[in-house]
Amino acid sequence: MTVTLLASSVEETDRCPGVVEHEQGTDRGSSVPVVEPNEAMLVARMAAGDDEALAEVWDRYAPVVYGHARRLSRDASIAEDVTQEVFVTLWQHPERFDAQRGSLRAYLGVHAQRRAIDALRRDVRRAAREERHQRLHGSDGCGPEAATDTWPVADAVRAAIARLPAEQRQAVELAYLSGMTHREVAASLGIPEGTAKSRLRLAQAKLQSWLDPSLLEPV
Amino acid sequence: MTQAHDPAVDELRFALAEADAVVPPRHVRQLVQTRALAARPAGIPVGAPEPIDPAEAFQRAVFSLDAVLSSLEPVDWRTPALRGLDVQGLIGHLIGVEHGFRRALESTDDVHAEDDHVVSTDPFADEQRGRDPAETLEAWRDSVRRTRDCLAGIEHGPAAEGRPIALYGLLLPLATWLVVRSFELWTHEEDIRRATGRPLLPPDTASLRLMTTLAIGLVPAGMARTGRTAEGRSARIVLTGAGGGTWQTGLGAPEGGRPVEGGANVRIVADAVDFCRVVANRLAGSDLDADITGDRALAHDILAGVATLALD
Repeated sequence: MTVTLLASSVEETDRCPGVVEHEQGTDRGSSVPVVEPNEAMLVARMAAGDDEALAEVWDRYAPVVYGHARRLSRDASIAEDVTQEVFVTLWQHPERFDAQRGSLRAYLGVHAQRRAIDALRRDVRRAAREERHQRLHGSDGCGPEAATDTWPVADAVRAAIARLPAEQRQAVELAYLSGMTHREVAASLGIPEGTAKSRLRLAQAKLQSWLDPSLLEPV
Repeated sequence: MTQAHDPAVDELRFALAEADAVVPPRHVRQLVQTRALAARPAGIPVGAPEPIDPAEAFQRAVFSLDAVLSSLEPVDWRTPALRGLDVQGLIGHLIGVEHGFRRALESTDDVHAEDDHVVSTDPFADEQRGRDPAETLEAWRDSVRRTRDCLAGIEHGPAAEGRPIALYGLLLPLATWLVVRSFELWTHEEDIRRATGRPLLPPDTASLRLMTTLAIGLVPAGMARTGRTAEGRSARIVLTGAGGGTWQTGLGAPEGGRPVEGGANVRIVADAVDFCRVVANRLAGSDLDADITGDRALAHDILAGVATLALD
């Protein structure tokens, strides 16, 4: 058993695009060109504990996953975290990939996207909490603006929220940005829980019409 | 992670995402390796079963075969199954194996160590001819019961399990023999299932894991039996499915059968159960649906070698 992940340890002949010569030149065998191992095989090898398969999947798809995550987040550290999570999870649960339903690239890409959006949501909420804290307690001169200004998504969300009527905006800030439950929002604003829900529904409808709804799911 | 709901759109989107591809920093790859292998070490399959004692594997194989035998109709017992033996004769063979195994367990000399696995059991197979199948079944059960009693009389513990037992030209620790016996019972259960038109079933996952591990460890011995040597060479064998795993093993002295690191000369990927059928000589190596990378001639030698491990 080997623990070498970073390079395939089986000696292979030179590769042509899309084709692997599986045959080693020997005096007893003949060369048989075989199509590149399919993704189902790669994932089955991972399921069997073949860490070289993980290395192969990494070599093929890490640039797409990392690049996509970086484009979405515009943050290298988030992209690194997302990429790690995607590949470690694939190693832990290769059985969740179904080659009948699509390519491994798309499978990994979808999960990179989800994780990048989750990371963005977390950061938007964090930024809003910090902003709210500063409004209440005054700026210390090193607020969250520097971080969030680099994110068009965060800017877009804040701009959209600012367009809401005041009572809806308050409810949204508490529910979506501060992570409060409906009951906590109601208590905080001194209104019935049903009213809080109603304001949030109205606000959510407006925000969904202005923004990508995937960014607006409550906690 | 779950699969996307709109595959066509996702395929397009991530084909286009190739345009954004950026090689991640080198340290990310190292982190992935560290975290992944901490979560599940290399070589260990997903959902690896809790290890079981070889004696438990033997017991499970007995129960499984008993269940099949209990379901047979009288006509099934007369169905040709293996080497000119009908099912009843094959069970007679197994009665003979139990007899030989007990004798090896109980004896302090190796006088029967070179007994032929088939020839030595022929009298037991012949003895079943014309008997009521129910009597044969009961005789087999009684024979297994006596083997279990004999095993129970042996002091448990690593020392006992490490005690070498000489039989059928093999000198193996008791624990290894119990896995060999499990392998044998499962193989003959499949013979009977095949003969009587019943579906083939793999062993339970924990038993299969013991069987695959044993088979990989005996690869060099199998190759030596065929006169094929592979000094200084190694193979990476990936057995897929429940009970499989990944091994990188030396093929010749001095590292034969032990894990080795570095580049393997060949990688063989195959279904774990089918690989065991090759080892049992029930599936030709050339018919094994295997993905082979590297030295195909060496892969051929390995598969030909493991088939010689079958006692039949």
